[in-house]
Amino acid sequence: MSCTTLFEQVLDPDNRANPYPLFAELRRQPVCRQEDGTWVVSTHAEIARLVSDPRISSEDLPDPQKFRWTGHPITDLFIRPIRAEIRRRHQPFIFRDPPDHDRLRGLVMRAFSPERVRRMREETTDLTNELIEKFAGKARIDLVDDFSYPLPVTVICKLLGVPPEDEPQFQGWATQLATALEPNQRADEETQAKNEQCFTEISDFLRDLIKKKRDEPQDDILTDLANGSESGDDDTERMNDFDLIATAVLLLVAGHETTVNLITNSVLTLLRFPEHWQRLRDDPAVAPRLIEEMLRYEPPVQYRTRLAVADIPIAGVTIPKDAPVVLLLASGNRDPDRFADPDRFDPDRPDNRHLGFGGGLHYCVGAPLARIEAEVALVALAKRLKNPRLVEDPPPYRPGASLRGPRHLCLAFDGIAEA
Amino acid sequence: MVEPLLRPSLRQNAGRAAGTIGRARRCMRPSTLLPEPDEPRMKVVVDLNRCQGYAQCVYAAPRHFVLQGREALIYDPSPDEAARAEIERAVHACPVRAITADPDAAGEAK
Amino acid sequence: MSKVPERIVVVGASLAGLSAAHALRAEGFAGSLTLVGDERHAPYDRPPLSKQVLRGLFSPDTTLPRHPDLNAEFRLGTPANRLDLDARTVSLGDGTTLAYDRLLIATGTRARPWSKPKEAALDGVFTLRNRDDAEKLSARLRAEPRRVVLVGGGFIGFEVASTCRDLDIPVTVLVRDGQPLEAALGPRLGGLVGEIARERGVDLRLGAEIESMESEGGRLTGVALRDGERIEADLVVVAIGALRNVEWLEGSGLAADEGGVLCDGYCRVLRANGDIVPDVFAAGDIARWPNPHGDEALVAVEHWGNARAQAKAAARNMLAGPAAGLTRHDHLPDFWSQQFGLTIKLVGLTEGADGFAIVHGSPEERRLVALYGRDGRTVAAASIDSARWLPAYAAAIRERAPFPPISDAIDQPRLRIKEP
Repeated sequence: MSCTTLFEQVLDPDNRANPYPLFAELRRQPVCRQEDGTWVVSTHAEIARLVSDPRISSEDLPDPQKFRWTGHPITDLFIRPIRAEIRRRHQPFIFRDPPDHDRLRGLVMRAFSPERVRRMREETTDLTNELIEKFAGKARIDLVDDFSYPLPVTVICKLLGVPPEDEPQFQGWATQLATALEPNQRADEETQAKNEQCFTEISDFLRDLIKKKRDEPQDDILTDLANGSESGDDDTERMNDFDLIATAVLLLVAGHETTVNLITNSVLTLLRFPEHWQRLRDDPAVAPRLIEEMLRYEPPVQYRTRLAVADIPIAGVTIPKDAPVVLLLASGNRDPDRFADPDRFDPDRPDNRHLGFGGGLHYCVGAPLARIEAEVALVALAKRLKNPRLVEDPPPYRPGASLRGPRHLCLAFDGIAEA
Repeated sequence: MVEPLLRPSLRQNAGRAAGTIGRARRCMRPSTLLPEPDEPRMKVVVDLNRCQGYAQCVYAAPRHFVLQGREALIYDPSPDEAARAEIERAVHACPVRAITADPDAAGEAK
Repeated sequence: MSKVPERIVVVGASLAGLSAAHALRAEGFAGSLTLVGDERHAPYDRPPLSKQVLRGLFSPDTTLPRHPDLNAEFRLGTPANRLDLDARTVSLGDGTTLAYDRLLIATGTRARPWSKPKEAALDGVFTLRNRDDAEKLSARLRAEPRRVVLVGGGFIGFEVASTCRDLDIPVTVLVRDGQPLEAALGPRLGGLVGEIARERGVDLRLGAEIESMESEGGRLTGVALRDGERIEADLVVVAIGALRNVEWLEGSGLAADEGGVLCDGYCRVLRANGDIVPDVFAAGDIARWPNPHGDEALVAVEHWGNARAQAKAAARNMLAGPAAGLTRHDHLPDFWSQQFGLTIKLVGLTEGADGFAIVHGSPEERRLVALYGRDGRTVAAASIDSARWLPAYAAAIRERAPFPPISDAIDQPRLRIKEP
């Protein structure tokens, strides 16, 4: 089969449960042009190289919304272009290049401090146990709705400083806006409109919240970002409100759905290979390596789309300037030239340089938090769920091909153990 | 013979083995024995050529890895055995696998 | 090459020696393995010595991790003092002799001492190479010296100067020739590092040389410079490069001199007449080898990364039977330095570079990637706090890409090619 239509099949929801055989076919040609002009990169060496290549941009991705007319001249000629321009200038840093990216990310990293993230371990443990307590008396749960979904949104809300009463609303927004990170749904007009509506709502909400954080500073990320750091001369730099809102939305969205998928994919995988579930039960210290292997084996973000800003010769072909480039992280993670026996789930794998969190300048900002959430959640589930079984395998998946994960994961079990 | 490096039996012996070279001990003459440390300590080294300042170790084990400035990593080369869980988290979290701990928690002989 | 080896001796128990030992075991060598070291310490890591150890952060114990199954005999505190190629033996300082089937020479270097022995022996005059040096110097720095004088414009000197400033100790750096770090980075970037050092309070003197050291009762009190100036100081740290530990090879017939132990691209050492000695290998600072990234010119690369890579290549080749292919040591030289809160990294060889261009960032931001070209080809890349761009340029160097290899990149200023 020609590789030029393979990626289309990857996007086909019918292949969501197991896209890996398609990746194997794609890897026969490590960098392959698709019929629509997109270049798909599927091998580890080439992806690792391109995530650190300065000819690969995260900005100026093709925007299908650009020429959508509403028929209202004021809207089309003034309001929309201005809003689009503002939006373009204040894209979250995931869609920015240096030097802007570095400046914004640096400010976020300062607020997302190791000490603050570390404190979330205890909070996450409490939350996890609260959620598991609610399983009591049930014979079945939907892991997604009953556990994986509520956990990360609560954690990120606490970290950001969103009041608990606003969390449910935040969860709704997070779910909707996750589609904005889904590259191939950008063309869907209805989704676009919903996202825009949602973005307006969340922006208004955040604008008020930021004002509160300025009036009454608290110990949270939003307070730090809103007020900037007061130490040092060049440290007084702080984000303007546009960037601040874009950043807060990004942290919410990117930190949410991906973590849901990491936890759900992990439980699914561990129950498919029960010896690993048992090993985690017996020895929670295995969790870190197990999670890294999970990020290789079933990465929550399967691919990212970038743009070539110059011709890039690679793997015997040349990606031309202005071509969209799909970095198929999940395929690189199964590349037999990099990982021995790549389709085997093996937490003891040496030198596991997976691409689960991407790489280069855009390496996942939330990775430390995701690791904590996954570790705490998996260790607690393995310890407390008695005899868990998959009810349906494969489970139903959400439509997204990039942010890929089960929509539901129905588990049967024989009760819960004490924490 | 080097893998898997963290078989449970090795892990249990890890602290005690820090001052000796495992089975080599019985074939060594007394003068060649390495000094026994006072308390069990891990040994850590980071390949700073490979390090790109992702700071994942700093999150995993903030008392033992510190980023100074934008990407200058300094770290505890001899952390207390009690820090093992944190150090192992750091080893596994490193995106470029630049950290080696004793015994080699990365599962790699470097 | 002779049959499968049963006894392997590694002379030199530092980074290269230990890396080779690990690699030998990883490659399946199950025979007897002996590491000989002249220091009493188990193999330890040196880069932290001039930084955190000196500053007193974390533990001064930088012992390198060892695999529990390494199963090697360590002969520590016993230098090797003779090699007999015909008898295949190494004689040690304690009078014993070790027989080998394969030998790895990894005796590295030592600090080049101050040229006047009487001054070098003064209380307060230091070199920095070993754990013991670092421990003693660290204690003296903690005793709040009035001023420290660094002699030499290399990385160790600047790292020590940076540490002194971290400890708020007044420090003067004397650079005899050209700009700081010029040998590695060229005058342009070297000059930038000098500028940064000055901003951080270092009293940097270019073209300055010590005429004599002054003392009272055997204790250093200051230095007199060639230009007649006197600088009062309690400590002088001499950081003027390294000498290779080749003396024990005298009379062995090997091609070994102050330039290192000559070996081929497979880490096999050569006799003075150019013949390959099939069972003897060299790795690390001591080895002088043809570098494919430098047109096969002979180089000795005194860097951490090379020690590990060359040790691995040597280990593999020590075990390769006649039928198995040998592994070419083709490591692209790389190193890092941390000073004044910045991380400086270099890949490739800047020697002979005729072009220089900043391709990301700028000197003003104290954050940049700079490339070095020679004869139209990219030969080296340096970064200051921009390490994540470096792999792309390392790949370009490996592929012998034109200079500059990448234009129209993101975050790239207009390229202006200058002298390095």
